[in-house]
Amino acid sequence: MTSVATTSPAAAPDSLEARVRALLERVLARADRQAEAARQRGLTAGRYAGLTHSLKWVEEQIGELESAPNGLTAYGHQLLKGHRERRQQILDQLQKYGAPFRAEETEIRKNSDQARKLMLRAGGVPDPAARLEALLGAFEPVRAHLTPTEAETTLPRLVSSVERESQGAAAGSDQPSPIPTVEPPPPAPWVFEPPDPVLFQPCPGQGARDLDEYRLHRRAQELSLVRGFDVLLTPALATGLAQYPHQIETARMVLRRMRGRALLCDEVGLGKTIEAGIIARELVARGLARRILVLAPPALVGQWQEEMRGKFGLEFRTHDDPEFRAAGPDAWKQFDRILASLATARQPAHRAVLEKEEFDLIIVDEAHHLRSRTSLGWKFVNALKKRYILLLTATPVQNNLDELFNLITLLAPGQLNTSAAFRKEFVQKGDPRTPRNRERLRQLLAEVMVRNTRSQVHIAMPPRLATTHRVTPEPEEAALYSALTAFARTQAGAGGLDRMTLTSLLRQAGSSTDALHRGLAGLAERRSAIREAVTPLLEQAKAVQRQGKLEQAVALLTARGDKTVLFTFFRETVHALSRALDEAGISHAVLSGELDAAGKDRAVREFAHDRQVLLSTDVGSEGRNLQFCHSIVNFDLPWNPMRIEQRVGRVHRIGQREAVLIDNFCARHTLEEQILRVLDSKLNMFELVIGEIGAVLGNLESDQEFEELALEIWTGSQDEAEAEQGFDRLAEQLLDARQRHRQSEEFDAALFGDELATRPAEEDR
Amino acid sequence: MSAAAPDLATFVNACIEHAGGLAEPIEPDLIEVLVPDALRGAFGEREMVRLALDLAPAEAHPDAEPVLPGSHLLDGLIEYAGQFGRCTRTWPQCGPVRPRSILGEILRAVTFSARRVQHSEAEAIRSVAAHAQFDFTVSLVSDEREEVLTTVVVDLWSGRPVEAFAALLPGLEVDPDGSSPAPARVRVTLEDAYTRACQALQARMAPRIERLQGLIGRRLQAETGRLELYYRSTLHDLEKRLEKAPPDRAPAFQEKIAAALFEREARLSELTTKYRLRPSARLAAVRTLIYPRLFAPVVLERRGVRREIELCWDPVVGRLLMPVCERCGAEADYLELKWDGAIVCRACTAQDEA
Ligand SMILES: [Zn+2]
Repeated sequence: MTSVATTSPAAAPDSLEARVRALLERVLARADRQAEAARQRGLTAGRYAGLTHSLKWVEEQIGELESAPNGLTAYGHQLLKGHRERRQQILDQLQKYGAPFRAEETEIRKNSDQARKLMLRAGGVPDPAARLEALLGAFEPVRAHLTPTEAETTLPRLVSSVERESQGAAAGSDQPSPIPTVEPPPPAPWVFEPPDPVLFQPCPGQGARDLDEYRLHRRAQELSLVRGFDVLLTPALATGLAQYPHQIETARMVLRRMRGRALLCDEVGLGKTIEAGIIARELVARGLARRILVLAPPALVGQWQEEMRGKFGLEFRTHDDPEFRAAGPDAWKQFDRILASLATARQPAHRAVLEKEEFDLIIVDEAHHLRSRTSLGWKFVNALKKRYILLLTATPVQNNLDELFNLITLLAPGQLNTSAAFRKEFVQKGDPRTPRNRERLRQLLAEVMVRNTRSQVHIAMPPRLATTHRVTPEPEEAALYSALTAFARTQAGAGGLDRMTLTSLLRQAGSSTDALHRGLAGLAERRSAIREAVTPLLEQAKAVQRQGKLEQAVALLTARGDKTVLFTFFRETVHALSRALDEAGISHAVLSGELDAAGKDRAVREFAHDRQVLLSTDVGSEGRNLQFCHSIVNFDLPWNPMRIEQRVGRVHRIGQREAVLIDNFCARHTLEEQILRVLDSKLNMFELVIGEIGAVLGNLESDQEFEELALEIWTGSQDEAEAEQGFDRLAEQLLDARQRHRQSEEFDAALFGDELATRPAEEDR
Repeated sequence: MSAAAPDLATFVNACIEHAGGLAEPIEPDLIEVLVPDALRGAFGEREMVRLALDLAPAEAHPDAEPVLPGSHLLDGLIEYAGQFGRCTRTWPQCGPVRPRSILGEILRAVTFSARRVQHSEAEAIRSVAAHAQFDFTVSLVSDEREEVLTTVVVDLWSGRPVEAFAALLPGLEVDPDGSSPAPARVRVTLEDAYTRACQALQARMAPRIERLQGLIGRRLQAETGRLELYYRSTLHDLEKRLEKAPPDRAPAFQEKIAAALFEREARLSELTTKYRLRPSARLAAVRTLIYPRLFAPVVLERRGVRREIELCWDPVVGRLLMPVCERCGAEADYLELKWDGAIVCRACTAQDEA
């Protein structure tokens, strides 16, 4: 390698020529390094070390044999021949494996030599402008060794400076090169929907009716037009859902100003899900989004599915839907609207498929799981192709402002510049949690982030008063439950019955003997292998005469006299309760999943009109508002706290003026008793701010659903005492999650205040 | 905040009436409806319903069903109304078919380069002709969707779009009891007229599309700029670190640079697909407008060449339908009779001479 002799007059250190030379030198040095690297790789590829060692040894042997003083024996000749053959083989191999790399090396060296020659020759040009031109020419052979920045920014900037200089203008200062002007992509060709041939037929009618019908038709067409995002279509679509103005404002702002990419950080209880639902619905209604992927924590997937269906008419497939599972990894392509947990979606097999898919809209709930840019979750969401994206979290920042940077970079790379520049401009030295230049930061955030607060929205909801009724079961009931528990523990331990079946049996047992009887009978019928084990349980269930919980619930309803919704999950329990209420002379209506829409309407009307009790299954009450009454009874208890929250939410919602009474029933020594102990006594679930339970579950460091955890603890324990310890640990985790959530919330409140809330007046500008 | 369109109530009432039902107003924007059979499907098989025609009554009366943009009920009514009136005939009322002097009108509208222009008032014939009115629903989709209902009228005699009609349509007076024999002067089928209407529609929408492209360009520029700056500085940082990195760390940085380049491409292409304008149109209705016009034969003579053309006076538009250049097909207010008998516009003549 020759070093370049500078024959030209020495250029001033910061002159244009010096800058051009410096860049060229840098590129040449890089080319040299790359040539050297290619040579090394060539050597490695030729197993150079091993082969040269062998070669050396073989050559020594050959040397010794050839110089043997007394000539060679026949054996010596044979040996020499063998060594010579081996030497040739080694040389051939060295030649073969290293060849491509040597070719690469040669190519690089040829190019850089060429560039050096041009550089030397340019040095000899006397006219400064022509010399610069010539120097720029020397970049040509080594173009491939420019870094992207040099190719796109540094060199073009130098070229344009040279051009300006040769035109006699002042040399350009070192301003960043301008962003290239972007032409909008040409419009796609017009698409004319093939017209209905009927329109071209001779028309039959005439006269006045024709004219009226034409006018009606025209008005219908006018009304069906979609008019930008000024008129939102969803509020009316989501029938019966009285949204808060801030939710509508948020949706409008995200759609209009933020062009569908936003970080929604409302405090809990203000309905981020609703906001995301409105936005999704608006995009769907306008034909702007077809493929939607919602990523939510496992515990919240069911809730999302119901809200989207019930309030927005958007059907989603969940990743644990049987049809979805049956379709294998192709399912991600097959269904347009998918709901999955982040943990599932980012598994390598799924991820590989998902990263190739194009989504119109991606929604990530509890997006604070993406606060770290090195996390798998962040990288995964970053790699997904999406046109619109919504990140939902009540607590975007927990430890430091980098977390905010990471979330926003996911939506709008560059909104907060690069990580280093962001820190320099906005983070206090030595204090990663305190921002500098607050006003500028607020302006930047306001372009991509909304955060409504409870204090600014003024949602006044009446309190909720929860009472737990621990009922001592009748002896034969207690015996049945412990027999069933023993059965479940054996099955779970032996890997017998699957999780779903066990959950379902235990939940039936927690509801009523009638429900359990039905479940056991079905099981005995379907699974002949375990019929023998189930039959005694079935006999025991038949023998149960009185049910403690049922009697107590009827007693409570009789005493209360007020309108009450009584929830149970199981139809059989509804029937049993209905019979018991009839006997007690308590008027009631039944709302269950078996009814069609009209039947459900009728049941709600009857209840509103003149019945004291509404017996409702969870499925039956989906999407219904019952805020005209203010008392609910959980006759059995869903294991998923979100389901409990949903039941309460049918009554405890906008429009409710009275304190809501919640009566939870459970039998002693049951799994439900443990769940109530954890949720009510330890976590004070019913006193949490609405929506906080979701945030707490979202913060739980587990990829399992709450139900799974509960089942595992119960069936994995030897006895009740051990189960109690297990549930205590679960309670600890929940309290911990609540603690973390509250800390972040406090911190975020201090950080953002009301500064990023929607302001209707501002919106109209 | 009202989400309702101004003529929503009129529309709902008209639909119910058309289907043979009864609508009784209770309060402003709140009506009680005896549902006619034809609408039972749309109203969930109920006989009586209360309808709220704006947000306020919908909130005040939870028992009333909202009929608002986007609601199922309004969609149902729109679908119902959409079945009728898609293909109709109508008889616009027009003033005197014959202007005071047809030749005067002709000469005022068109300049002829011919030695002789011959026309006799007596030869002008009053004859029933027809226009085809095409109502299109146009969608302009980028990262937002804009829809407009726009109408193109095509003369079924000349086969040419009549732009002047678009302005007349809203106030067009029609004879509700109109009827007449089939129009005599029809030379173009509805299908062919539709093809011309599609072309005219594209031309009409061109300025709007250009405006939108400007808006899209500005949005795209802002977002591209932000992305460009971000990836430039990201790449710059990575390159600096690569230069300083020990050889064993170098491949890691090279990978990161490659990843950043890939990501930038992906983000930029996302932007392009998001913002690209996609125009489309759907033919919603066809209406044939039937009324008499005045057809006037005009004879042109020049250097021994003689041509007869027919011009048409439209009493509804109130002017002469402009003739077209036989070479370029454009409407022309100057026509020259060529030696080969062609009648050509000024631009084409100038081109000949050049
Ligand atoms: Zn012409």
